[in-house]
Amino acid sequence: MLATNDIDVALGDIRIPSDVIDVCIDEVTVIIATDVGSDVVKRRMLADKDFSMRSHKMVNDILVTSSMAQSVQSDTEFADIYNQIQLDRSDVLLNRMGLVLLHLIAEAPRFDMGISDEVFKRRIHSVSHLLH
Amino acid sequence: MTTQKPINSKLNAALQVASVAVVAQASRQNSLKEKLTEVSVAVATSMALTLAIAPSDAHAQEVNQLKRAAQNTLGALIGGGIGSQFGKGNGKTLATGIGATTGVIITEELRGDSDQRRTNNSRYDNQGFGPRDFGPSGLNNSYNIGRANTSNAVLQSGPEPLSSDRLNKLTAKEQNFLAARDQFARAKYLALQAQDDAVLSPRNRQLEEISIHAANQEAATRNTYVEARNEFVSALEYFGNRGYDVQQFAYTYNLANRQVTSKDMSKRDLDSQVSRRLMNRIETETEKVSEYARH
Repeated sequence: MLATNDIDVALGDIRIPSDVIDVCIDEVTVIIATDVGSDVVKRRMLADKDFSMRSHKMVNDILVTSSMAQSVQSDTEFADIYNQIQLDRSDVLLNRMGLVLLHLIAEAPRFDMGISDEVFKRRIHSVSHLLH
Repeated sequence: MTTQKPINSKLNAALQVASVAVVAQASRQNSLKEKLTEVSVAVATSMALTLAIAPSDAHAQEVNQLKRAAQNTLGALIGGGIGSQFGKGNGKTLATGIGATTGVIITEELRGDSDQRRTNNSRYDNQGFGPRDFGPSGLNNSYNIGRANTSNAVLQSGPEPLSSDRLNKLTAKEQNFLAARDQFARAKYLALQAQDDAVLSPRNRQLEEISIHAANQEAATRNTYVEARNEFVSALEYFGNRGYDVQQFAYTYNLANRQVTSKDMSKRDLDSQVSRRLMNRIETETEKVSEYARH
């Protein structure tokens, strides 16, 4: 049995290309603007430097988690990973962005990584609880 | 949570790249690799390898995002030892098959698109008349006009991660360079067209003036391009030589060392077209592969 600390460190070492993160943030920004009727994310990004960095980190964490959710064999093993995830819950707008992104990820077509749609969606749903 | 907006293909492509990058990196970590399915490692391996070599043409800047991410992943895979990541026995065969299938689809799509664009633009590519293609002449780079559109430039890169602030600044320079390159290619295309028109109607003063104006525009965008290119390349080489990890910019660096032609003109909707076709084919093939796996 591996120490959970090993998993935490291993997950922390995984990096998503920044342009991939930018595409996700752009898409989420557009959707939120459509939903609430204004460009709140863009304005917040301009006004708050820290927000931009935190949103990048959150999107990175979500992409890592969701990618593992579609490629980890058993629920028990995914639970080891799930228990190490800490998503930023301190900001309402960040939470909303995270939920929108998770929804998009759950609906997007994906490669068959050996995990069924049903299992994948259930895992993504459980990740979304980390934002509530 | 409800959202009625359909998921766009660019986001789909980004999510696919993210999953490849994550699986490839996770397969190098002892604490994670045992948890991954064999299929996921095979798909990630094949995708990373294929994307990294797929579109060899300069106009592949539209799929730059995919390329660059794939190159990152490729580095991770080579570092971890590709062969050791696969499964055993039948699992290995199946995983390899699935990975190869996915890889072939992506290669075909990207190359198919490249071929189509090359054919569409062939009239303006080095036909022996009109303005000659211009090539970069920045730092540490001797350039001969009229050379082949290939580059052997190797970007030095080290293991030290760049701080997010520096990474953002380098990314901004990269975006600036790509935008300037796009503008220059477009101006080049328009100048060639204007010159063609002027040649066909030699006594038409208006066309002559348009041609001169287009040539001036081309010269102006060329200067902007050279400035943006040199700024990006010199910053990248500086950090690379100092041992920082700048591998993610390798593809753009390669672009910076190629000559710019009119066919490099960006078609804004190209990336979405490529991604959409790609996703359709991957969905179809994934179904076939799943069917195969069930038997």
